Amino acid sequence: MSSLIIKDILLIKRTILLGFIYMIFLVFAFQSLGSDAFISAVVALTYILLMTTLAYEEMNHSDIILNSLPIKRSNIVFSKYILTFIYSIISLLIYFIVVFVISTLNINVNVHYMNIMEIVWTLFYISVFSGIYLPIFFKFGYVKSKIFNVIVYVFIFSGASVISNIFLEDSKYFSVNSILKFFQNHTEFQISICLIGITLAIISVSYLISLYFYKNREF
Amino acid sequence: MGTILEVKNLRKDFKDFSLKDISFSVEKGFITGFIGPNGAGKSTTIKLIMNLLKKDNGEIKIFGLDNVKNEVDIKNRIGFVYDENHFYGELTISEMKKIISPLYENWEEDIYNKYLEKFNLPSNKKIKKLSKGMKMKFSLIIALSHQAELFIMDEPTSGLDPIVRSELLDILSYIIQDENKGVFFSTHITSDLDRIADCIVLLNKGEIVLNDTKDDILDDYTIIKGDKKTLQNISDTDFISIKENKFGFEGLIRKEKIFNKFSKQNIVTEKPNLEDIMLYFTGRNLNE
Repeated sequence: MSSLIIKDILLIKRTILLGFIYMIFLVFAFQSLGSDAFISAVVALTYILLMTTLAYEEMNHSDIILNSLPIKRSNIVFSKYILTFIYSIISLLIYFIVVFVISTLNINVNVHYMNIMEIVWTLFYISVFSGIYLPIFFKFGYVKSKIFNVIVYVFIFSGASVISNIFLEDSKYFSVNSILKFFQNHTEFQISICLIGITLAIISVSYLISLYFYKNREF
Repeated sequence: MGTILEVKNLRKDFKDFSLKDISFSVEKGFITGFIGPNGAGKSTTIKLIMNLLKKDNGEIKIFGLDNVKNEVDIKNRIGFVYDENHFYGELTISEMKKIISPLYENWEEDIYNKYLEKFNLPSNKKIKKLSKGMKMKFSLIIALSHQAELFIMDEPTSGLDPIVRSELLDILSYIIQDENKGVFFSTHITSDLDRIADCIVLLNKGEIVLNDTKDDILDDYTIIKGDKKTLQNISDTDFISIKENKFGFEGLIRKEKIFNKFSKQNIVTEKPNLEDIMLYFTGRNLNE
């Protein structure tokens, strides 16, 4: 298992270095946008790292060799979930290193240090993205799943505006106030626990679906 | 001796092709050549053995174990070389080795180093920068370095120059001196097998048309040539296949049939090689 993860990190070592440049650029570009912008920057970097890895897998037809080696298919699937978590940590680290360096350099840039709550939200968004994407990847492979990627983007952007409209209309069943109330009535700690719970649930369900798909894949 | 790989009534259906309930076995201490034209189903069979494809029916037993239920255990004991390199091109030889070696239970670093030196492979070079022959050699080293008992080779010699091919064949002959090991070698370059194979499985259009020891096959059949008059009281069915032209005929036939059907004066016989056997049995290249 560790072998599989080391392999993936070796494959994208150059992309990780590019991640620093990407983050420096975004920290400058997003300085007036506030914390949400940085959450999305970290989520996007994790996503880029994951996509690059999966593209390498496809480019090398590595399913054939991995499945000819003495590795359980479940380990191949599980390693990608662990990897996503590791990439999240790497992306967060890159973010904090860049922010730290910029703030010590005393340049006239507004930097924002994420707090714990924002980190939990970041991990939550990553788990939603990868939780949806990985089963599709394990079913269809990288090239075909890219189409789904586009659909996911469209869905998220169009879906977000639809959902926010619903919230703003204050329907009988569901109002933006009830969500606000939830956040107001609970401490950050409680909300974090709740988010971590949802994250784990998403990842577990996603893993089981991925495993089912990959066990039935043919190469 | 014993059976190391046993395939029974193996079936796999695709939209435009099916493998039709094939059965054969690979014995310990032998090199079994798996031949047939392109598209005969050789790679499909190998992928089914390696559980890269799901069989629709039948049974595959390796070391007496079911190939799906005991997949990891079996793969620890298999060395494989495929026609294309599926290693990560971006990684160097030594990086790739570091990734693969912990996956095998019985990895032998000494043997790996010995072969690396013997084949002169540069450990720090990226795999995508290696020549085709070097990539094959790297696959072969991996296959040799974990005490594998069964070697599965899918067209390992395709696209290689005669020198590299010859080196590979020498190594296979060396491996097989250990009588507990077996080699299953698919190729359409039959001259490789003329040299080293003990047994032959001939596949055509998803069916096995011939499965015997190489010596028996080459002894049992003969090529005969003669002029058309000789053919008058012989039916085509006596031949495995036959090609005719204006002047005469040439066909592959079981040896014993010659004696009752032909008078020796009118024909010429010729010992076939595996290529002749494959061409006549698959009916290709005839009547041109």
